[in-house]
Amino acid sequence: MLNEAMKRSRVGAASVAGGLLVAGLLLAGCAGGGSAHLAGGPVSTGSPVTTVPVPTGPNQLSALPITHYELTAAQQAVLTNAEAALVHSCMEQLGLDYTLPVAAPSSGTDDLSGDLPDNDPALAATQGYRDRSVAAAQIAYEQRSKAAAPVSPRITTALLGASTPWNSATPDGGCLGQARRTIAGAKAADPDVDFDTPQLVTNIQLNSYFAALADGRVKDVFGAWSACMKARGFDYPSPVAAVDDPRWKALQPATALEIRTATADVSCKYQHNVDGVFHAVQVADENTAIDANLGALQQIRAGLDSALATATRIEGQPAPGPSGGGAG
Amino acid sequence: MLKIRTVLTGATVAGLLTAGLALGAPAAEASGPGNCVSGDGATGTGGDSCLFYHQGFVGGYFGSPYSINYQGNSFGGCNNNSCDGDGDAVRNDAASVANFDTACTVTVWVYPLGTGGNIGQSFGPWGSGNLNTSLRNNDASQTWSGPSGC
Repeated sequence: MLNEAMKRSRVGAASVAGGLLVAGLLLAGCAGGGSAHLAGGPVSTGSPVTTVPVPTGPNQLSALPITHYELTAAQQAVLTNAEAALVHSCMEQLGLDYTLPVAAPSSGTDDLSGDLPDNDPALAATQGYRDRSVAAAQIAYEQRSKAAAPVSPRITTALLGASTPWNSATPDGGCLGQARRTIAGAKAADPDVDFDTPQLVTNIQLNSYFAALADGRVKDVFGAWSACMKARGFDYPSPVAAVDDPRWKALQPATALEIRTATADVSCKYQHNVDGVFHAVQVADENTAIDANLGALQQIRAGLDSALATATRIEGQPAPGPSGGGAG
Repeated sequence: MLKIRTVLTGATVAGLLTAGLALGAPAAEASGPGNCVSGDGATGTGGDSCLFYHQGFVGGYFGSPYSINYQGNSFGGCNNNSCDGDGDAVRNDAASVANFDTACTVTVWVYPLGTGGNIGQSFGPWGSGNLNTSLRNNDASQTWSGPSGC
């Protein structure tokens, strides 16, 4: 799962396609000078890399391969809309007027590329490491009053039955549990899986991300990045350390130091193609993990597709009443 | 790491529904900060994201309905007969998550709020799971997404 703030229209993909290098080695190039040198070799520790993109700005990298096995935001909306329709009908049959809130259609496109933090020169120049507009919305959320109008006990019981977040789609899971079982289908071993990112998918995505951080080829470009930063007066072992500097406060305006640091960071990243190498290693690690788990992943994808087809059919259709004993 | 407090009855999930429906049996009040309360965030009630010290929703817990950095917050209380982690910092120390919101998705992130290119793990409405092994003990913040109001 990638940052909501990064979910924006993906532009410039074509320019990256032109920058792909087909090689068994990694590019640690100097984009500004128009020349490049190859690095890698004996320090390489992970899966073989065949293609290294050379992004020239944010949101240019391709989707990571594991994202094929999870729902897009638009597909999630199909499931939750169907869920809400079933829940509403179920609750109505119990004499309750309750509509499960659903998300508004997303206007943007998911960014599924798994970029490292801080790769947008414009953002770095104005806000440093933290998107203050996101933070401002979070401040507003923090300040709102909570629980002004709690959902009534009758509604809560009918909606959730005796379920908890870790067994919601059980027969006594109320209208919500029944809706999930209906959408997931009788064959689904765990109906909740369709409404979350499957653990295997999460594991492959996150493990590849962290494996890439520790990969020798990535460490090479981190070293080049670190030297570049050092030459500009900033001392960090890696981009991860820079972005996590406790001096950067998302809920306060960016300081001049933060902006200078983030600007140098972005510049050094592009100078040494840090994002391109990191992305290439992630893709290679994910492909290895996908190959090793292909059967399970194909089952997951088939389950998601089946749930999507069911959700498309039943959305807006009347649903039967709750089958479990917990509601009412 | 292990601090034993009075273990409340059985599975004392602090998950007290707003409606008063206790999750996991006896509706005992947990001793930690912030019960894990259910709700429907889009209508203003705001269910909690409940983080647990151990996998499988065991041990000390921390619940919050807001988008927050975990820095400065601590686990408290006991769940599933364990008070492990009680008093320990939440940041870089959580192992499982239960989303007590019935409408909003919570995402636990590796980096603090507002960081572009953040990476994390999402838990759908009324969903739950263990944190991925890479994210476990590597949690920095959480945000909400979904319907307006989340």
